[in-house]
Amino acid sequence: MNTMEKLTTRFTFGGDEFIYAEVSRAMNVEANFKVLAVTDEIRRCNIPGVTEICPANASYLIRYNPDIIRPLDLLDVLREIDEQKSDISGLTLQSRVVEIPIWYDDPITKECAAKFKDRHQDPSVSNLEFVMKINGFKDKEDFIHAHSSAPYLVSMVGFVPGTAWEFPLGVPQENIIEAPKYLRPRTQTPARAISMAGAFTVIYPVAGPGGYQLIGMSAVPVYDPEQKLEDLKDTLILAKAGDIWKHRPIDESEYNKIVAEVEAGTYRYNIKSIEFSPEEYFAKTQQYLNELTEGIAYA
Amino acid sequence: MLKILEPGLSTSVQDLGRFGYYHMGMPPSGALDRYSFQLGNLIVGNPYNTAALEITFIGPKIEFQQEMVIALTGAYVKPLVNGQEIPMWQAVRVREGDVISFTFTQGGARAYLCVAGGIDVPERLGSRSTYLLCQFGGYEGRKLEQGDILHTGNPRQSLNAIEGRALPEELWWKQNKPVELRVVTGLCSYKVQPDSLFNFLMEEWTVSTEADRVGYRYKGNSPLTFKDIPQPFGAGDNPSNVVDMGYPVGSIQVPNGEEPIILLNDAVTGGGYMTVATVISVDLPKVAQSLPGTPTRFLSVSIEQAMAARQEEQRKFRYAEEILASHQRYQTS
Repeated sequence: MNTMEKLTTRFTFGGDEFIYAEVSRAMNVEANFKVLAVTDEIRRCNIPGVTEICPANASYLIRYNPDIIRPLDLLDVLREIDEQKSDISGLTLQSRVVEIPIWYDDPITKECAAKFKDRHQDPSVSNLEFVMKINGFKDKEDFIHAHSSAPYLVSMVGFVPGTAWEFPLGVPQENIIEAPKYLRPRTQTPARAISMAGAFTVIYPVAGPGGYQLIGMSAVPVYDPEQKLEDLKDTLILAKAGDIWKHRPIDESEYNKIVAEVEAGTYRYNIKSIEFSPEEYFAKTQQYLNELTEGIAYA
Repeated sequence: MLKILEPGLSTSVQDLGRFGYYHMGMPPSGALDRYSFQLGNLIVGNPYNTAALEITFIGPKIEFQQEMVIALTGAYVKPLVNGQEIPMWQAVRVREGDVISFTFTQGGARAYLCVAGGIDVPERLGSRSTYLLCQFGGYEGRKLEQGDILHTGNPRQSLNAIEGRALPEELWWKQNKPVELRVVTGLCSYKVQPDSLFNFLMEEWTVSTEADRVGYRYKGNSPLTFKDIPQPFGAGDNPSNVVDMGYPVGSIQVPNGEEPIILLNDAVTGGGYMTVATVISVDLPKVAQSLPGTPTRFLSVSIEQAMAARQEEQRKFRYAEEILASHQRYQTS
């Protein structure tokens, strides 16, 4: 994963108002860094007619008004920016490290999983135990440590407001924890449930249907439509593409304490602004991640 | 003010939608039949992007609590004011205490009730549209309920000047059958055997009962066959899965290669299902106006043809503006 080979983007029209750009078909952090660099530059260019700029895991989506900029003209502009930003060495991304306190193996998501066990591959165990089993973990503490010790890159925001796809940093592909989705999706999931499918971790912003494997509860929300919390006042949602999130395991009493602070509107997220250098990340992966998350990572 | 006596099946406040927040997972929402919605606003002298009521299948019953001018557009709903039918596609004056009611929509699924001055609900992130799935915007984030009171804005012109303005039948929204949806193929169509995609688009499909502001699912045909290429890392095992991507509004996804789903204005903004084509923007109202059971075909077009269709629609809007302006001159002469 420490190669920074040049990625060639494939462009395609999504009707007359969208252009879809596929940087890579496979998920990898290199592709995501390029997506972030290109979409930052598109934003900076203020192209007349462009109305939405949406970075995704290994692709990006642009919405535009074709009465203002012709589809083929915009395609040329995007190709040029994409080409310019193809080399991610020397690139720095403005980012943040955000701590997410997690109550792993909690009774709330276990109860939800039990209710929908007829839709699951292995109804005899909890979702967390299922993910442990298929990834070769024997001990719960080992699994929780593995999941919470790696920082996660927010590689995409979307689906419904606040949903963030988190992808582990510094973990060789063969060691990334993976999980299949439910056989048939649940019709209900508690808001703030933390879950896994594919190589991604996702926190549910609101209660609703879902097919990811449930492994715990986040004490803090990722969506705040009432704009009660200071840190989400301007944005409504916590996630920004390019964020680095660090999950900190907590117990029931700390979970309850934080939830009460959130409800009172007094909770402040533990956030640190950073400059992220993909080049340094690839050169000295673990050491670099330790430096970045210092003061955020749990003691 | 409007008082909702009966809410109908799903009546919501919509304008042209909420833009600039797609990257945080916020879909645009907004009127699904943009054509009828905009012409309705034009008739009552509003700017195109003025909030109105979107009526679905079963209309509401509403009491007007002040004198105002309204227009009904979209699918035919037989609007009755105090039991007397009033014309659609025309600015009609109603008085305090008048009650409007409707039949089921006929030949289409949605109608628009536009009011001179617009429906006045607070703007959220730059739009008055209701995003029902996440209870955001519109009137308290939800469809209307019995007893709701809606305020209206100030009309731009005197009611006398607006009343009676009408559009000719050639501009009324009409659905041809089978519905022909022009699509631009692409996105993740590389995963599919080309002859299979060709057949998929050529055959006739039927609108299922899973059809709402989020999306329309179609039934009745043979599934897509996939090329024998390995699944990329992070995409999931099913050949219809891709690494999660942003979805264009109007894109057609085909979970498991089986039944196409067209994503509409309240859809999720991204996900991991392969999409094979996108309905061109001017044909999205045809999707939203389709009743369950409607036969539908897809017609593959180029981006140039999509642009030509767009320009044709814009000519209709210019024509409508001219007609309504000439009414104005007639009134003031």
